[in-house]
Amino acid sequence: MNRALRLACAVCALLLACGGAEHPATRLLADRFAAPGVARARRAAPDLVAAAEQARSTAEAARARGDTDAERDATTCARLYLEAALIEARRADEERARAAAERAAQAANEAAHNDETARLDIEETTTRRAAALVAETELARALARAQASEPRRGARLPSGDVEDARTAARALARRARLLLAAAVALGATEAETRPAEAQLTAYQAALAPHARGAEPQIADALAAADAARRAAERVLGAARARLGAPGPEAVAALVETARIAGVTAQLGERGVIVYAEAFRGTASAPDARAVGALATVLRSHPTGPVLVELEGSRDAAGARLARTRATRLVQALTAAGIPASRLTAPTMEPAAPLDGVAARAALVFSAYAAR
Amino acid sequence: MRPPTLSREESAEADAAAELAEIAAAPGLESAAGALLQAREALARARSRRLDGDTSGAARALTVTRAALELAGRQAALARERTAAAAAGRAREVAVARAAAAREALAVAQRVRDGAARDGAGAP
Repeated sequence: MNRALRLACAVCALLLACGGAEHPATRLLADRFAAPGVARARRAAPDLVAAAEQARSTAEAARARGDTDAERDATTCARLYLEAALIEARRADEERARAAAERAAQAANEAAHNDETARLDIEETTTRRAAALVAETELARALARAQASEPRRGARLPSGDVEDARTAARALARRARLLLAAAVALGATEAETRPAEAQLTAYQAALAPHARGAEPQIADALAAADAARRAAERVLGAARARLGAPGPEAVAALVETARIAGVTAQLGERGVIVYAEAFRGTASAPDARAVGALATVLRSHPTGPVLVELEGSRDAAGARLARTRATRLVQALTAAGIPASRLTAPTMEPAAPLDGVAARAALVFSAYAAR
Repeated sequence: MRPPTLSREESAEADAAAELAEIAAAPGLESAAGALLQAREALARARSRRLDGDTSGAARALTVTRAALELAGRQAALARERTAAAAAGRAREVAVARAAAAREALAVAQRVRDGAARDGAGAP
């Protein structure tokens, strides 16, 4: 029995000497290496895990040769490197989460920007339509007042009403002419424009000194101008329909392209009008940057003809300057690669008479209209 | 007068001390305080062993210093990343709220427009 006990003790001592029993620190380290997350840390920070494994080997070698201090230092190193690897894996997770949050924020900001832009467009259009409705109502009232006064021959309209009616008739006639010009640019025939032209002729005749006296027939002039405007709208609508005009998406894209190019765009009854400060001071040549921006917009939206107008003062000299500058702008755009056949400079008075030097160009994309 | 020449061990200690100071000055220090303390202690141990003539012991203590500095650096980086991630999360919430408000405002504008169009269609 004593012999068997002695043999067992000898085997135990031999096992301990050979390292058969695991040291607590070594076992703790082995547990750490087997912990969940180490595989992920190995992918996120392979260099740190490799350093930890090397320190672990060093610790095992030190233990084998009985160097306790070296084993303790190497074990500490292995633990620190492994912990650093785990931390690095968590940092990588945080980084991915941050990147995802940044992408989501960017997408939300872009969506918000698009919605805000769309809302502004809608509000602008709604406001314009409301203003147009008010103008229509006022016009109808002025027309009714003038027609009611007309049978009272010899009686004079109050001077304020006459002036209002004359202004309204003039504005209607101008709009009719602009709409007709857009319709002609889109290919409207002479036969189509004839009714509107006839009403414009009637408008001018009504404003001329009348045979019965010096009082022009204001009510007739108003009625003729209104009829001319309505006829011109019909002609323009028909011309657009024939052309297969671009849809609302193309209109929105045109407005957006103009904004990106640094010029402004507005949707009106004549189509999309793109505005640019095309001339600086008294320069005879258009501004190169404005020409570049307008050419960009023209190239990216190639459907239909485009009227090139310059805003100018009401007097004859202002109108002449506006026409001259419009022609020069057309030449510059042609030189920039826009087909000359697509561009038309107006021969009539400026679209939006202003008290100033003709500097702002208005390019009317007649084919692009809200439906 | 020639400048004093550092031994290899002294240079390594100086490098570790400089790195320690750099990490201690970086943002996110709070989360790395434990590892930094460990690095300082290991560095002091390396100096003490070197002065005692225990070259291999000093080298081992320097290795521990390096490992502790590595951990401190990663912990500080994690703290910075968490701060940035939290800021990005807040920015995302703000953007999402803005997008929702913009969507709602657009819907309102569309309703107003459609209502005006209906009214306008009935007008003379």
